[in-house]
Amino acid sequence: MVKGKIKLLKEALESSKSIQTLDYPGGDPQIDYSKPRFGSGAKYSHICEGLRGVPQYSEEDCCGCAACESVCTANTIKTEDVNGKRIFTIDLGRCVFCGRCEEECPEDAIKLTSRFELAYTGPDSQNLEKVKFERDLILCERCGNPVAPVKQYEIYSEKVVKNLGEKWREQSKEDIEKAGKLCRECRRRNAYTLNLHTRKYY
Amino acid sequence: MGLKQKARLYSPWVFHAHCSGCNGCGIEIAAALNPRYDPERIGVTLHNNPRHADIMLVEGIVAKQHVPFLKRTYDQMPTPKAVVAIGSCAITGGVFKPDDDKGPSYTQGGPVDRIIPVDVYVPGCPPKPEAIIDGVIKAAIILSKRE
Ligand code: SF4
Ligand code: SF4
Ligand code: SF4
Repeated sequence: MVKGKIKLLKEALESSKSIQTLDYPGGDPQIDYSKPRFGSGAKYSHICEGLRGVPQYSEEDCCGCAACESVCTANTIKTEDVNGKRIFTIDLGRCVFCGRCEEECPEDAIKLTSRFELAYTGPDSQNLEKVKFERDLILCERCGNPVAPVKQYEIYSEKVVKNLGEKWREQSKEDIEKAGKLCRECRRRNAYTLNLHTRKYY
Repeated sequence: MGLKQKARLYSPWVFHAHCSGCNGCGIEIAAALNPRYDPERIGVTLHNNPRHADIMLVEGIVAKQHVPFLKRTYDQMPTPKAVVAIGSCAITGGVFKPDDDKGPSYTQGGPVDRIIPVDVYVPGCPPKPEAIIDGVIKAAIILSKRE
C-alpha cells in the first residue's frame, strides 16, 4: 500500500510540473508527439502502438473463405450464399475491435487500422460503416449446392499441389480435377467410384 | 445564431445514464471527463441530474427492467436535448446480441434507439475517450441547431 501511495505522490508531483491535458482534436499523426511539448512534455495519446481501431477490408485480396465470419466475436461479419454468390455484410456498428478477424484471415485482407473517431449521426450518415460485397461461388457439378468461392478454389488448389511432395503431386492433381468441384456431400457419396481414398498414396 | 443557441453550443452539460452495460464504457466516460482529456475546455461538464442536462450519454444494452427508467430520465430532461449512444451495446446490442435470426438476449430491452431517439452513435467496445469527446461535440452542434 505504501508503494502505491508513493507512486501516486510521484504522479501528482509530475503532473504539477507541466500541463497534462492532451490536445484535442489530436492533430497530425505524422508528427512525432513523443517529443516534449509542454514543459516536461505531455504526450499525444491518440495513436499509441498497437491501437486497435476500425478494421479495413480489402475487397481485392479477399478470397471469400469466410474464416473471418466464423471467428468474429460480435457477428459483425455475416455471410450468406444466395444464387451462386456469397454475400458479405459487415456492420461495423457491432464491431468490438478485438482483432480476431485480422489474426485468422489467410490472405491478409483485413487489417485493423488506428482510426477510432467514428461517431456518426444517423442510419444514412456518411460515416456509417456498412460494407457489402459479393464473391462468385463454384456450384457442385452434380447437385448444384455451393462448394467454395472461385478465388479460394484457385488459390488453394494451387497451394495444396505445391505443398505436397514430388511423389504425390500428379496423383493429387488428378484427384482435384475429378472431385474438386463437387460439394462435400457428393464427394462423400462418390468417394468409392471416383477412387478418392487416401490409401492409394501409401 | 441566437444567444441561447450559442450558449448551448459552448457549454453543453452532460448526464451519464448507465443502462446495464458491462461498465467498460462507463469507465471510459469517466476517463474522458478527467483533466487528461479535459472536456471542460469545450464547456462540457458532467451533471448528476437529468433536469439540468442538455446531452445524455447512454451506455449498455438497456435491460428490460431498465426501459421505463430510461424513458423517464429522457422525459425529465429539458428541451432541446440530445442523446449520444456510446458503445456497440447501445447501438446494436454488440456482444450481447447473439444473432439477428436467433433474436436478442432474453434480458435485452433493445438497442437505445428503439426506446428513445438517438442523435449520435459512437461505435467501439469501449470507445476511446477522444472518440467520446468527438461524439459529444457532434451532439452539441446538433443541439445548437434546435429550438
Ligand atoms: S478471412 Fe480474409 S480472405 Fe477469408 S473471407 Fe474473411 S476477409 Fe476474405
Ligand atoms: S475486430 Fe472482432 S468484432 Fe470486429 S470484425 Fe474483426 S473479429 Fe469481428
Ligand atoms: S460496448 Fe463493450 S465496453 Fe461498452 S458496455 Fe457494451 S460490452 Fe461493455
